[in-house]
Amino acid sequence: MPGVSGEAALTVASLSKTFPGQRALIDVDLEVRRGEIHALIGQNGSGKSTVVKIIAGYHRPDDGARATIAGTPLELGSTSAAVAAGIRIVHQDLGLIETLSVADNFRLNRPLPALRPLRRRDERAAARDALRVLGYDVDPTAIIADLSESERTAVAVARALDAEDRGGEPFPLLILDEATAALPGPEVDRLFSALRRVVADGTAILFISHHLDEVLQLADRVTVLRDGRRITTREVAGLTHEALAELMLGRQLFAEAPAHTRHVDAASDHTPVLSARRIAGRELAPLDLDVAAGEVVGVAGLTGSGRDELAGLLSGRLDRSGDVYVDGRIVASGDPRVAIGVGLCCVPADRANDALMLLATMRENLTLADLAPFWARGRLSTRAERGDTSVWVERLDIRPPTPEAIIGELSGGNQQKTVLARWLRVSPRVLVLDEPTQGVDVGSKADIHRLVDEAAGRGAATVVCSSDSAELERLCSEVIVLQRGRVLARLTGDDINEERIEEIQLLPLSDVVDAGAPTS
Amino acid sequence: MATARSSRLRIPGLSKASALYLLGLIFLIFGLWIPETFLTSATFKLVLSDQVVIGLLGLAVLIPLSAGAFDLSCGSMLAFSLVVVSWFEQETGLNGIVSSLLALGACVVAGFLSGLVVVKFRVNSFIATLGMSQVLAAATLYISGNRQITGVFSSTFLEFGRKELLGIPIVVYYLAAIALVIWYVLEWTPLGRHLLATGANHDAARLAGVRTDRMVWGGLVASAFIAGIAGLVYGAKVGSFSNTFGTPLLFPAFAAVFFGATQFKTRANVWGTLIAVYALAFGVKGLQLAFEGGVYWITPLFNGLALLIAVALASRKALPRLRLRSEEDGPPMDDRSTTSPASAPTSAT
Repeated sequence: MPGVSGEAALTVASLSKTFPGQRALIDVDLEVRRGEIHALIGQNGSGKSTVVKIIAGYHRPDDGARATIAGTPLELGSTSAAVAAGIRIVHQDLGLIETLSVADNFRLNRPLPALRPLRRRDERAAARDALRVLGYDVDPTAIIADLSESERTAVAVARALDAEDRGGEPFPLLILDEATAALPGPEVDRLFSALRRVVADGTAILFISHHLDEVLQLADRVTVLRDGRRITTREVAGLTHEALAELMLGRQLFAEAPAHTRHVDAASDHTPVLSARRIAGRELAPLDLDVAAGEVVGVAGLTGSGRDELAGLLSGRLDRSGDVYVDGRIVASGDPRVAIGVGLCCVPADRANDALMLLATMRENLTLADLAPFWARGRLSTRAERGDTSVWVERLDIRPPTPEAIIGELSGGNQQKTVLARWLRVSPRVLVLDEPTQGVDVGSKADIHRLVDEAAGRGAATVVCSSDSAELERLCSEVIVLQRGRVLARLTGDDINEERIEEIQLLPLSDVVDAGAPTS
Repeated sequence: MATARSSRLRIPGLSKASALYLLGLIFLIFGLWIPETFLTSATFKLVLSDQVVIGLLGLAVLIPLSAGAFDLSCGSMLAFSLVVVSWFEQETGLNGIVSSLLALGACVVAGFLSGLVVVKFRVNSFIATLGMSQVLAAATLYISGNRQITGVFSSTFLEFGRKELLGIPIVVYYLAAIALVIWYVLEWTPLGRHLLATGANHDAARLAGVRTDRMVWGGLVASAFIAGIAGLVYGAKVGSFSNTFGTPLLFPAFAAVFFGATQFKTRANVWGTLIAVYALAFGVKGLQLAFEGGVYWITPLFNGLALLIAVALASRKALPRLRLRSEEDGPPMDDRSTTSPASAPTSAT
């Protein structure tokens, strides 16, 4: 139980949260002191997002939790109470409107003056000043989309701390919920000095991050959560990267050298089906990748590491630089149809937006990629289509078997199986899967894994991008771990296991610069 | 689920076929009230043939709308087609068929240009076709010299609009034939499936290998072509061009398509559109006959109320269904929902 001193910006005591069938938080205590940057870390599922959501008021805690903010009691689970208490939050997506200017984004945060005309000049000056305080010189008329990642984050932070009527009183608490996840290396330093200015002014920062090097560099104290419990709270000074990782994972790290660079046998008869040469996007630095027929290569990495971009770059959803070849044929960038034409098929992560026609039936969604077999005697034969669909419904074990149901009404598992079936139907040469079992029930997950095995068994060169390390262990014969756009390690054989993959993602970048270079 | 399925097997419910119920109700009321004027073949022929132009225009709107694109230019396209054919008839000695083909060709070129602006310059179809409609209005005024054009059509040309076949005005057959073709393409061909997929989710369709740009572009060209035909049919039926004609028909056409979209399916469709056109037309006709012409304002009022009620009935059913699903889908709030924004519909914003 942290001592309730007068210097506490936020205290939370005995915080538990039970979701149906799951205890997300068990008796967590947290104290953030005035003027400190306090990191909250933990793996996926450790409960750190739930803590943030309860403090912000999106979730109501179980009975018995108590909290104070700047010494006065705070009602947990009420957004209006959190706002009134002066808690400000910047989320991972920053919440900025990309097409508006900096000053306009500031205005969105304020109550609209009823009928008073907007005073644009004042607003611009205010926005410029707020950013200057953070050490950023940004033109308030600039459009958000034209700013760098660091500048955008600074705008979001400055906006969160923007207040017309607090009379110079600083906000007690600013929560940064993975707001730095997408920052490229050099821009981090710039933002961090801005954050130091924020705490120097008297605001405490609760800093949520996956990146342990950021925690070590920025935070004064750190609280570690594991499986919904608080493991420890301690000073960051004196902690090492390894110690932090061990606290998070709850076990000893592997003793050996951190990174494995795979040396491809020169004599290997594995002619790659998929070859990528120096492909790069917004986050991903130039990457080389070769996948042979039947091989399943996994791609691991935290959000913002380039892992979430790779599938889009390969499949043509996103524009890229660099070349992609399938069976030696070059695949143009940014054109999914060309990729599909050479047999490169992709199951995207965002199935609702990038894969499904939610108001159409399962059958229509399943057969869309190839209607030719049903086209006979001048019409689409619905009967042939139904027959083919029911074959796939059976093969994928879609239950209940409802080919004529509206796909938007089905479970995530059945939706995902339908998207997978769409591509398995056309016997892909290359199958790219992005978060293939996200938001999917356990049974469907096992089915989907079995289907990926089968597809690879039939000779598909397969790439699985996933934030689920257990999934990569289950599926892959090689795993590439990305960090900040670079290859941190290439794992093969016994090194491919859940613990190892998670551990490597947490390694400091400086340790593995050598392995980051594409195959030399 | 179970109730939804069983009602699908039985007679379509009120929300799925409100236009059919409305049509039945109209015949019941006016059939009992004013049978001597309402239930006559003259009334039937009049309503059937009067609505052909609106029906064609509705079908013109329907095609690009299926691909997710609005065509606001089809009202002026109609007038443009008519003024072009009138000009050829007046100024040249060309055969009526040749003039008609030239008018249709002009419409196709205009539709092609709209498509070019939408697809190549990435202008929203709503804006692009709004602009095109003004350009076409200007062309129409220029060609007509801002005057009515009458008496330029040959009697053979007018025959095409005024004949009857088996006791039914011939123009009704045109509408039926074009409706059949569009229905066939939309529902029974891979092309139609690709068009509908584009309208249902443009990004997903593109990522599934559909040539979405061509679908939108082709849809706008087809729309221009059918609006052009509607102009020719109007010319053959009425025999003259007036510069107030065209644009005012746009709203009734759109209203019919949206009303029709609530019928039978959850999207705009051919038969829904046509039934909507005729349910509204018979309702208006009945009211006009019953009140003897003292109700000139009844047409827009009836059309407007019917559209509002039909859409409200349909969305009352469709919306909760989708809302329910998105709530069920939300996984228990663990950290994954923040690290992967992709499938977190309920994540806090």
